[in-house]
Amino acid sequence: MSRPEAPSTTYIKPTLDTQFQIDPAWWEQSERDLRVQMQQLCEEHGKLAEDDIESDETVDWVDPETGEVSVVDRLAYIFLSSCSQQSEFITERTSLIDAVFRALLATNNRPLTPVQLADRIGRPADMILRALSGRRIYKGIRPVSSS
Amino acid sequence: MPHSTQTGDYWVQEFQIDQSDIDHLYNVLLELETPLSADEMALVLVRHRIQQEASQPPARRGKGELYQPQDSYEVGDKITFSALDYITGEVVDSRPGRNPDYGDFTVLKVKLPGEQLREFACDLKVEHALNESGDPDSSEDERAKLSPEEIFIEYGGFVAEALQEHLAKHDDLVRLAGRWFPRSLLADVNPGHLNLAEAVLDIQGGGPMSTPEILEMASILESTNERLAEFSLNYGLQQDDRFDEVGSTGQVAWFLKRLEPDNVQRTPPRLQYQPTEADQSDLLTPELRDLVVEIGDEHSDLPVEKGYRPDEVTILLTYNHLRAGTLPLSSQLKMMFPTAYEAPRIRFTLLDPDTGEELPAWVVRLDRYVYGLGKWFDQQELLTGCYLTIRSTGRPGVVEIDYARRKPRKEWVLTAIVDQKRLRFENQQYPIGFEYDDLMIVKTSDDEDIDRLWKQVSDRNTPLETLMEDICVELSALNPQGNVHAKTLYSTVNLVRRCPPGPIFARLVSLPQFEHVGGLYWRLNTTNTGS
Repeated sequence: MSRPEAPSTTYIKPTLDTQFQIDPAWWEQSERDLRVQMQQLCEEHGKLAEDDIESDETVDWVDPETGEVSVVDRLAYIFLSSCSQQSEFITERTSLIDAVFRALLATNNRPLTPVQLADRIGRPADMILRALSGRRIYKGIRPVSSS
Repeated sequence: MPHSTQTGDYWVQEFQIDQSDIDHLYNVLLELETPLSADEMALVLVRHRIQQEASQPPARRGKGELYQPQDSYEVGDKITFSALDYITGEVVDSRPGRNPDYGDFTVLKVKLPGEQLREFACDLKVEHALNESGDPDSSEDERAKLSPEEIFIEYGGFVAEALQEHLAKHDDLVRLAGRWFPRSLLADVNPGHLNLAEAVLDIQGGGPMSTPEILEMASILESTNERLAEFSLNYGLQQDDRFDEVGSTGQVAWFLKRLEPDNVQRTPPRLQYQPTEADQSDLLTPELRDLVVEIGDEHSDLPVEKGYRPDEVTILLTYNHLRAGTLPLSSQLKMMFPTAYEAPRIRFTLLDPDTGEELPAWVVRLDRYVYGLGKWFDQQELLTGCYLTIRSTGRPGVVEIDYARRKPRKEWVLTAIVDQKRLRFENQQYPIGFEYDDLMIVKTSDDEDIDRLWKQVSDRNTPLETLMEDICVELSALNPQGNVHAKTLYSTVNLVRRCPPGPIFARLVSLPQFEHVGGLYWRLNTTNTGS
């Protein structure tokens, strides 16, 4: 997963145009492993990647929407190219924060606004904004300060 | 990035008519052979702008070639990324891509403005969403886009307004009854057509007749598109001095000028006002200003509440209008009566709700009066000072006229008498069958005598203040205090000279011979009279 450029660590008042992304530093500080989390999200593909999880081999992943290339390891590649493309990856039953987290993972953590997230997870943008605007950080999802 | 035509800013802040818009409108008018209103043209223009934007090559939105992963690029190429808000970057390096799933492809290193280097795929053999059009707007946002009709509903008013302003500068465009058409494309209306139109109107007593009625009765321009024939004949009639367009807003109706009533063609002498003195309305007290509004004289320029259209207006009948068989087209009343796009005279109908009688009437806009009530005033035996109510009917071109009727009873009424070429006043008993303003009511014993005095005042050019003094002397004699109300003075001065209340009230306030005694009453200060 690509590392965000400038996740905000100070409190800013987000709007519907504010971009959000997952801050890996938050995961490190929380002593939780984002890669394990990704693996758990899709059991089937997680097992496929199990053998490769310790592998250093990387490939170029082409973002299906922007054409941007990210160099990712095997686990991330399987996740991005297969797991996140499944129709059941985000469903109506997925909790809102979890759905936002999955949507960001599916774009290799490309910053997205609540409006863009709403389009991907099928929830109202203002509801997403309210959920992400509190002082508590869920799953490391933070506003990008430069936006 | 949203489509620019999809935003309010595009239509409200940035929209300007350019030559390509005008060319397009000319083409549409030529193709349709039908004159269009500003609103109709605004919709045409909204569709045109949206179509123009859609047909614009997407790459032109940025400064470089639009990025498609299937294409090949070289170092130094400038590429615009539609999926990244159309930012443009420069290819600074490239390397072979590494992913067996994609086959052979190239990874470009691109320098984006103000950013670090980012990598993008090219020469990609597998499918990619950007390969279809290079523009994600064309697929994702297409469904969310507003239709031209929806945009017109939202912003059409701004477009129509800009159009009206712009089209007025084009000499080749003719505007009639709110519709526009190029002069050069009009159907040929020759003198023979116009003579036939005159004959048809003559048979109908001068009119009013709508243009389709004239076309049908005269059997002219039969092979021309119906709306174009109508518009072309309208233009021909408008250019010919024999015809007068007298329809109210949105309706074109024609009348033969020579058969119009004299008092429509020429302002009745009693209504002619020549403002000779400087405007002194700034001298008036707030109470006198309120009185000016209450009187509602057509020559008092009162502020108009824009966009407000009253359903009912009550006015005071003054002597000059009673004699001329007219109503004052005051600021308030103007909003009630049918108006027209261009016509200076408008034919309409006044309806007496008591009898159901319909009276043919005319609004003469420039000289601010409504003509056609002479006979009705006589029948109702109304006097100066009577309250008249004008009510809208909901029917286009039809307005009700009424007054508060009551059982006639004899009352003491201020009566004007001409004695030895001077105006005198007496209180006389007279049967009154209507509600009235007791400070304005005045009856005349002999209108012909009053007319002779009017002429004398006019011929001698008697100053207004002299008239006011003479009348004050006569009115003062009728009450023990010798006071005269400003409204009574206005009503009686107008027996012999046409004058709105402003100049009369300004003299009451400013001249020493008039002494304010409280409220709206004055009396003549005999030690300071100018005579």
